[in-house]
Amino acid sequence: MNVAYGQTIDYVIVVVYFVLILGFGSLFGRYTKSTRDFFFSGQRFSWWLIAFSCVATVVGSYSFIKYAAAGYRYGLSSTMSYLNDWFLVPLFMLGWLPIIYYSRVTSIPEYFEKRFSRPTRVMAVIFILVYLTGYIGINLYTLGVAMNAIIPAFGVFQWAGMIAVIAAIYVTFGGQTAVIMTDLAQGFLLLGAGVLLLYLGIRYLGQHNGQGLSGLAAFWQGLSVEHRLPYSGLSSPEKFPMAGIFWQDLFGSSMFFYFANQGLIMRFLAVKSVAEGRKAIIAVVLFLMPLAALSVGNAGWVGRSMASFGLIPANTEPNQIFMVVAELVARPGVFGLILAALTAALMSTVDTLINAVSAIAVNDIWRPFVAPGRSDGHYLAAARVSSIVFTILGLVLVPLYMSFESIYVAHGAFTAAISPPIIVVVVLGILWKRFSPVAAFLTLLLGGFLVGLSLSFPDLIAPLADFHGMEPGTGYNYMRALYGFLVCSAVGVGASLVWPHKDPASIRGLWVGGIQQARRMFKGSEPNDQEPGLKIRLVLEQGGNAAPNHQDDLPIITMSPDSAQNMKARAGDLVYVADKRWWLGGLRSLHARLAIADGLGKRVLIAAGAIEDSRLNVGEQVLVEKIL
Amino acid sequence: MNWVQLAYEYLVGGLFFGVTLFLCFRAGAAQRSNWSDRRTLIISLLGLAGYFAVHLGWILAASA
Repeated sequence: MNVAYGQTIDYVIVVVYFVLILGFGSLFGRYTKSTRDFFFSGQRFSWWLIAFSCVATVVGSYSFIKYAAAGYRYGLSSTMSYLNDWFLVPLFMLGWLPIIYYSRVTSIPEYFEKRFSRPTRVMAVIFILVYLTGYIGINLYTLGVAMNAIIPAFGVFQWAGMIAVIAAIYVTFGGQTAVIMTDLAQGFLLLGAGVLLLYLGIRYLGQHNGQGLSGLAAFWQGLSVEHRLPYSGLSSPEKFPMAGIFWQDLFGSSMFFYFANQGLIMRFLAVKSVAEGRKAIIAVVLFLMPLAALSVGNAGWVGRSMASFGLIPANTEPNQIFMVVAELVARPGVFGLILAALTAALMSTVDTLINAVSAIAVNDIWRPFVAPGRSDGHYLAAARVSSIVFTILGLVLVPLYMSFESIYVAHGAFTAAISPPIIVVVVLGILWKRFSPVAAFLTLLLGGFLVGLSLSFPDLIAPLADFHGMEPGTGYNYMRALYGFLVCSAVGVGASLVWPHKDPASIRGLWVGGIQQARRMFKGSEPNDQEPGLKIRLVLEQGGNAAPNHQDDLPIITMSPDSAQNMKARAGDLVYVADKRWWLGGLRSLHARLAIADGLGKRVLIAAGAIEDSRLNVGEQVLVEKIL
Repeated sequence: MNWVQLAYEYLVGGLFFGVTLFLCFRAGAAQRSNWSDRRTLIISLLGLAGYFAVHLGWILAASA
């Protein structure tokens, strides 16, 4: 039987939070006038907006419950999953990010068609669509389970339905901008609440340990040496071995997240430049992920210390530890804030998934196959409809997950089977010019089959598990990512030796060797970013050339030679103009091409239409910087 | 103690890190003449060193 946590004030805070997020997200509907806005927010945002929203997406449904339980069982090593992503960062920053940004791909399947072939794209669309739709359902389901455990007055499906409606409304109106802005708020909330919970927990330990120890000393001494260490054993405990976590989380979850997650790719396509995207990923992996690891796991660590001092029963159920500790240390009201953070973690993952699946549906099915050649307004309407349709589909799956565990298990198995082949195709596609279209297709098909086969015949994984000293069962599951990585790589490399690769001229910009060409194509001329220039403040005035550049739809801005010299910019360079208020994060901004004219002093001229679209204010200072 | 795990993570992960970094520069995706790429390289290496130092210090502190 469920036990309700918290008091009326806490529930009121959660309800107020829902209303605020709904209203806040819906505000951004006016910034969405095209599919580029709906899916990529007009590529205008600053690194910190993207970084915080990414962390809110990473910390997903059940993270607080799951990692608090791991922290209670295994101590500080619960952070392992969040602290090993740095190994992937160079390939992301120097390879994958420039490729997707400069080649203007909108999705993984589209990249697959450009880099390989249409059949590879079709297969990827099927894989990713099934995965994403099922994953929306799983997130809504786990969210319903988590909320039902806290406030049993509403059932699992009712909770899932409420959250789905809220997320669907603001995603449908505000698109990616609403997702990023609400995720920013939710990221702050969940990280802040996590840190607050740690502070309150340590303070509580200081007040109640009974031995006169300070809070920090009590916290540390309440943990055994084993619970203080950053890693668990290499092959033990059975359900949390370090080597298993390393392969499953780093080469399974994290690689899929950074290189194949449609929601994350769209997030990084919303930054104002590649350099800004690099700053965002550095902030995420170097600073925010450790903070997230602390936020989601600390209730378990504090709980373990409390159990050592007899402040909670030693046999407390690990899956309950987050709620037990939070309710014990937080006053009414503060507990409500922590509950709101829990729902923030849940909702910020669901909204990203809804926007991502809508992008796949429109850009990879509707636009190329069903209704090609229509207006952008038509595709924007299709994007909004598909957001609603896929939310409903995800919601329909909730009662199925509730009734048939086999469906839940089947989705997990499907995800385990498709992740390694997609990751391998992306990584080999980025790094190896000779990776051929037939090889990519076979890697998805045969690689996926071989990984799927290991689910029925786990002994296929035995050599790898035995090598690491892991037992059959859970140990095999952990090593499936390594097995998948190896067999898919073998299929991909082997097939590439047999079937011919594409003409290098046709894959310019789609692998690491063609990025410099992609930069030239993106700009339309030779890039000018060998040395950095200053970011300068100028007064915005209406005027100058009203016609967009002939090469693209970018407006033209005009400034004096001195201003251009300060920016180390030349005529024709890509520049970025933003409101001087940094905290808007680029919400009011535009990309443009630079023209230079004498006699402008500290003024910059932009045509009326472009000013209106960017929401910049005439007569006020703006910040201008060179992009490329 | 965690020395084997530390070595495992930084040898295997470091291999992936080093190989992908090398390939990006060798293929011309990044150029040392470009200030942004140069800065990215330095931050990548500092980040790796920073994570290693944190893990190392953490193990020592836990064992003390």
